[in-house]
Amino acid sequence: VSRLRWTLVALLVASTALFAVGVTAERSDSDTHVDVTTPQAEATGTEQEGAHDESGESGETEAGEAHSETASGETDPEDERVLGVDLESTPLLVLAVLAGLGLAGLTATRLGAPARLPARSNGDRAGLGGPRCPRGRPSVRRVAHRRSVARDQRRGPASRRRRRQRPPRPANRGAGAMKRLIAPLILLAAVGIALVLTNGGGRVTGDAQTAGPVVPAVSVARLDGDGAFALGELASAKSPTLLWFWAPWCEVCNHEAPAIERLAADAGGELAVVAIGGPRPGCQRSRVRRPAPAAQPDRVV
Amino acid sequence: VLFDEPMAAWGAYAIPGQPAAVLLDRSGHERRRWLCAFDTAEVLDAARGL
Repeated sequence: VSRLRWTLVALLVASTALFAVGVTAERSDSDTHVDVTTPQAEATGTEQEGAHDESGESGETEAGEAHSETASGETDPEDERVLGVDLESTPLLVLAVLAGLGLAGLTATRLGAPARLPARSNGDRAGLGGPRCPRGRPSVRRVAHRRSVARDQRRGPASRRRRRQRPPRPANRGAGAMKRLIAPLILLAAVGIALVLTNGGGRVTGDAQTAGPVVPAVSVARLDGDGAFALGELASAKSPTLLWFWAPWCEVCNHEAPAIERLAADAGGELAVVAIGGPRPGCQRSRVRRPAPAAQPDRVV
Repeated sequence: VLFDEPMAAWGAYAIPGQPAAVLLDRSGHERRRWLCAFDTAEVLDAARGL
């Protein structure tokens, strides 16, 4: 039974370690996937397309379509879940720690409990009329022990003191130390898994989060001059919302605007579209011949 | 249609360039984003999945 317990504990520790390694590997894959969307990657793609444009093989529209091939850096929310568990959920940390504490306590209770032998008084230790082992005959070793104790009784208290001062056996001491270490090890493994699952032990980028940040407390002016729209209203929207960021001088934006308008019309109540223009250049800067700034805002959506 | 002169919303969503699109769920959490040109049918499918 003792070997079976040790085997179960070893399997438990090994499985938790493997699980933690698997979670960490999946997390690093997700980070690599997200890094594709960094501005550096965009700049590289832009430079390549800029060179393509300079060769005179394609116009602006073709360049925009070619750029869409490099826009595969979107993040998939499904990649950010491990076994269907929300990695960002704080209650998971609490549950994991509580589970680890419970497991550690159970293990300490079962493995650290003393052997179920009848309690013996000093008189019993002398082997003079004390309770005997309830199961079967006493072993040869126990009989020898009793005889030794009885011999010490006859010789006097000095002999008993010598016996008491005898150091414990190394084998028993090692087993006891291992038993005492099991509970802290299991607790440590549980806390480690909780930290990994809740991103406490790794880097998290904004795109890698399962559910991104809540809408910022920002109000943006309407293009028609009719006040401003608070993005905070999107926190309780009736439908999913697509924020489309555009610039008035951006040829790709202007090419895409009719499709966005059709998308807003076709989606009906399934999707709301909010177009947010901006005056400054972005990833299209190196390959778009910019007209006069803010010259064509009315052409977009 | 909005026009963000101070680029506050752009900064809040860390938009590196345009066009770009960010899909939010009903509670306003970002679920997916596209940089530069994208397929609107893909956007609609993603929105229907939320």
